Amino acid sequence: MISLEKIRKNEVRGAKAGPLAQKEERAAYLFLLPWLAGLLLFLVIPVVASLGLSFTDWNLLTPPKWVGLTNYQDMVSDHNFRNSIGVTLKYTVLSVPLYMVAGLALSLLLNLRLKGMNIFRTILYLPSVLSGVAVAVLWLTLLNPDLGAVNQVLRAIGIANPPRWLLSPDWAVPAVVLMGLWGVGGGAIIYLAGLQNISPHLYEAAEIDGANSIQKFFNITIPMLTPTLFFVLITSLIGAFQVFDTAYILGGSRGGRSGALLFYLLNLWNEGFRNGRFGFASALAWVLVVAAGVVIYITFKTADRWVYYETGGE
Amino acid sequence: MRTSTRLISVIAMIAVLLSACASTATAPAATAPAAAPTSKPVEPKTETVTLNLWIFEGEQGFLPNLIESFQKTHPNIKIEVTEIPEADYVTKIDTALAAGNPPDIGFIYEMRWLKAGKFLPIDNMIATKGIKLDEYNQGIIKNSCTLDGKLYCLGSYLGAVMLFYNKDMFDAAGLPYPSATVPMTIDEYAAVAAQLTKPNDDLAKRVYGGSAGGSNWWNDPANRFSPDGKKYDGYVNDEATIHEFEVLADMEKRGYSPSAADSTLLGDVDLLSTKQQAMMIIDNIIAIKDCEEAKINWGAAPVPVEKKGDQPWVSVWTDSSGVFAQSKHPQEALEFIYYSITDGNKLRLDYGSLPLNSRIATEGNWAGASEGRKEAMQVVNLAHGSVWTPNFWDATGPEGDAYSFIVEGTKTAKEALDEAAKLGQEQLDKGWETWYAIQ
Repeated sequence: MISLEKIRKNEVRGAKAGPLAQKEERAAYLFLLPWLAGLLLFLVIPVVASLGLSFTDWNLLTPPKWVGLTNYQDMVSDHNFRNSIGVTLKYTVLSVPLYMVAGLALSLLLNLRLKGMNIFRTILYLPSVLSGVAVAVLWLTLLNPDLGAVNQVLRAIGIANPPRWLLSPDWAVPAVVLMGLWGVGGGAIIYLAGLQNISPHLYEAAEIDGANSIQKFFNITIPMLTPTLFFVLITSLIGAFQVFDTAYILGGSRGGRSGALLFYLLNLWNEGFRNGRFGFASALAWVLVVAAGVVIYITFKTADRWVYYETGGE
Repeated sequence: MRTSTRLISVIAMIAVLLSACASTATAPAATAPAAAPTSKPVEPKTETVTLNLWIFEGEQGFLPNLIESFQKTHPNIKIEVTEIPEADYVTKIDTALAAGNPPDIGFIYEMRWLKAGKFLPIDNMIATKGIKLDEYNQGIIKNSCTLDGKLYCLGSYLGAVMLFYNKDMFDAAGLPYPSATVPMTIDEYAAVAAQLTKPNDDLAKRVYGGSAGGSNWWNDPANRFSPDGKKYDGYVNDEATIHEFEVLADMEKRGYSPSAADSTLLGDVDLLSTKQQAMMIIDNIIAIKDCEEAKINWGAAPVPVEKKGDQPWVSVWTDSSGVFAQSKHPQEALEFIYYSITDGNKLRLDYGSLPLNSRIATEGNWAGASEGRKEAMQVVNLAHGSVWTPNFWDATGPEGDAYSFIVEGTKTAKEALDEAAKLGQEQLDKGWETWYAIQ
């Protein structure tokens, strides 16, 4: 019997595919052609073009003018650039761990076998399917420092001077993080899928060995859930770097009081579409790509130490 | 060559061809107009010409009538209007210009379009048609429509920010009316507001003396910028402006003007027309309509100035539409602009709007028997040219934050304005950098 390995080697040595296989290959490429053309036209070419533009001074009204690394050099002394990095990092550090922990806690509750659990799952998932703009407008009202419901509740429970939330440079980002907690149900559903994939035999074996709930959680649930945690961590980090519509609605194009909500993408948009500095905005975009790439790479590299795959591979 | 390699090569070729077409389309087109307008009147053409007009929302009442009236007298010219949300308007026009495909007529929202030669000057048309520029509001001509000595637009109506006040409330308080030609100082304004305020625990019964808030939208730019428009730091945070902010913030803290929370609780209504506010700094379009509907005995005066001796200032605007240089029908487009600034002004009278042309406003008896309207006409005649900057709103944006910090007591006026000055100066520098990059 010929092994798969031998057949594969024969193919590698340039054995010609038959006419039918060739015809199928042609058909496959033809079907892929529209998507490939779209990918090139609307993604690859614009991305490459933006790299070129990042070395130019371009305001859309006159042809781009080559300026070399000037845009990248100007960033260092640009107040809005430094501020936007600070705001985005602050949001990332506050929101990512909080949403992961909150999502996990919620999923553990949603994993209980109780009557009507499906209704709870639906209710908790609903906020994540609502329009981000609509949610932001709603929270703009709720977080009004003088008239909003949140501060009225805080005053009712004895906090005489509650935070001014979006109007306070110190509380604006925490306010956005608080707002995002409302949509944590979306992440909880992903954790729930991961929880339900954990074999019950593991828990049975642990019970036989006398493990309590906390020991089962840290020695079975968490390790078995690490692939899901890893996925959520990566997507949360990417999401944190891409905050725009929320910041725009809550803080306006200027990024709120003293630029407290000037997220990186909002600053990028301002530089391009309000200040007419498309070259500089392109440079900002590439800095974001590189920075995000570095963060994701580091996360992947550390994954070997804490992400456990049952199959033993990736 | 393998079939798959051949196919990939075909795909790559298509992509290169498409990218060549795309890069040609995205490169900013040359600014040469399709056909240079001549100075002589052109004989009406027989074939129908369609003009594209891009405007943002707000003219749904007037524009269709203007177009209908124009098309009756110019049966060979049809106008298609595209309404774009104001927030997207600049981006749409920028994109259309970059693609070399702007409309024929558009609102001149950004002066950089004029600098880049994207609009046609209308000086020839003005001279040929015998239009008298001194009949039009000089503030509009100098601040909104002229660049490097060339005129690019006029308009059909005049919007202006003024101080509107309730004369009956002044009579009841025994106070003289503000002058229609000499502005109060900010201290005088605050003092009058204090006397007109009637505090009450019941918000619905409270009467405010005046309005406060940040003043960048109604104050003279000359108070905020150096004469060449390049310096903001050192001007917005000078003693006079610091004092103005202190006075305005104090008005709000003392309840002489409504806070943002008060306004929200009162339903964001026009408090002047509901007789809950004695004076209000507001635009004429809203104020006159609301006051006359509410049958308020109203008057108009120029907005307060920082200190005695300052020149009166009136922020003015109009529907400053111009003809794009790349229009395929520049003659016809200019005909529409001419119609708008002449017969369009007369048509505005039918809507109660103040025409941009003061002669038409007078001959059309816009003021009628209304003393308030007569005073409003005196105020708008005070409009004059002032300092221009390429990104006024971005540069002065931090002033709003500064005002809020002062009202909340978290910063002094000097601290708040020093911070605003620094941020605004950075924005201003970027604006000038972009401006000079436009050749």
